This record gives sequence, C-alpha cells and structure tokens, in this order.
Amino acid sequence: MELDLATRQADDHTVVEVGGEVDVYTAPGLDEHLGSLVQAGQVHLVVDLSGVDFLDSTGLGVLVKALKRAREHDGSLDLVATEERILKVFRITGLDAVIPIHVSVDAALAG
Amino acid sequence: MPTVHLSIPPYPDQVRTARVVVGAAARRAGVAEEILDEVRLAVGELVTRAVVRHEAVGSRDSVLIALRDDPEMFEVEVRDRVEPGRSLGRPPGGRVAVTHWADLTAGSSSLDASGSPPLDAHEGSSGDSPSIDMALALALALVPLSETDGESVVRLRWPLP
Repeated sequence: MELDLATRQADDHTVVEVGGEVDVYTAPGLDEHLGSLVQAGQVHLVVDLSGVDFLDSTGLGVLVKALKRAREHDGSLDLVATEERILKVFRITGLDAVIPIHVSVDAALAG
Repeated sequence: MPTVHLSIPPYPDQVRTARVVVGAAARRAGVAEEILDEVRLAVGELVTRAVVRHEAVGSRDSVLIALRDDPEMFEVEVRDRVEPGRSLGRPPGGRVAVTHWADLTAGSSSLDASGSPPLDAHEGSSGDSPSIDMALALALALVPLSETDGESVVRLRWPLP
C-alpha cells in the first residue's frame, strides 16, 4: 500500500497533500519527496495530512526531519490535520508545540 | 477465548498486516471503538520496533504476536527473535527508553515487558494519561533503544467494557 502524494504551488508555498497510511513502510517515500522539494528550493512547505488514515512515529520522524531541512534553508513547515487520531499522535509526543498544525490549507497559508 | 498466534515476516511492508489483523481481533474481542485506534497505533509501534531489531542483526525470523482475551481484558504480546548475545550496538548519543511502570496501571491499559532495558521515567507524555501506553509505545520507537540484546517480549493490555 503506497502513499498518495499530490503537490501544488500556492503563492510562495508548496502544498503536499498526503493520502493513505504513513508508517515504517511508506514513510521513506514521503521523506524522499519532501527532501527533493527542499533541495529544489521549495522551502516553504505545507503538508496536508487531512487524507491520512494512520500516522506513526516513523511518520513523525519524517516530518521533524523535513522541518529541520526546511529551516536550514530559511524555510518553514506547516501541517494541516483535523482528525483526532492524527492530532493525538502529535499531542502525546509534544510535537504539536514544535510544528504548527492548522485546520485547513487556507489557514496554514494565512498563518 | 483460545490464544491467537500470528507470525509476521520481519519486513516493513508487513507491519500494516499486524495492525489490521490485531485491530480486527480487538474489535471482535469487544475493545471499545474509541480505543481501537490506540490499539492499532501501539501494536504498529511495537511491531515496527521488532522489525527494526531484526533488520539490525539481519534476522529473517518472524515476529511473533499472541492475542488473548478474557472477560476483563484483551492482551497483545509482541515477541521478537533477536538472539541473546547479538549486540545491536548503542546508537550514538542514544538514551534508554522510557516509561514509568507505575503510571501505566492508572491508564486505560497496562503493560509489562521482559528482556527490555531498565526503564526510566518518561517525560512529556503527561496530559493524555488514558493513553499513556500509546505514548510508551511511541516512545519505544522514537527513542533509540540500547541494551536490548536478547529476545524481547512486550505485552499490552486493554480492559474490556
């Protein structure tokens, strides 16, 4: 089962819509995708997790890595998540204090 | 109910299999609907950890999962098969995970482990105490484990309504 990844530009931000289950098997694909965006100079990332059914610590690790890479290039990483099962994973690990999480892509872009 | 045994090949693409099967078994056993996500997440984390341990020593032995339930609880046991004495090495700057057993009994579920390292209190998982076991499971995967040579068995338990 692979991840669905759709990428589009919105002003100076790059929005990545993720769909499916992010785990130890699929996370490397997301890692590679986000890494290649930063490498290509797209350093303001909005990762939309609205279509993600499952996210584990491997997925969190990829997002933290993306945040670090973006910041190294004076960029940013914002997340969109609405499902409690996804939000909970950020909350119990304290990562919700590290990565901004928004209710919609529009809110992320406005922030 | 009789014990259900699963034998999961130690590869990343099989972790989902474990999540799906254990999630279905938990539902069948009567675990509350709102806890099923936690069951899937915790089991996924533990099987991921086992897969990583197997990879670290090049083992192709299956990860063994046992599912038991009685009228009071649903139990998941995850057993990896890394041979005793095979060193997994200590990750640079690694620190030992991570829990406070005493806290676990206060949560919605309980956990015990054998073959695991000495465990210290985990900071940062408070504020969501009913799911502290999920935090533990996350922590097991998030924090580099060391001194975990040998077979490792972790048991998670959830109460049945």
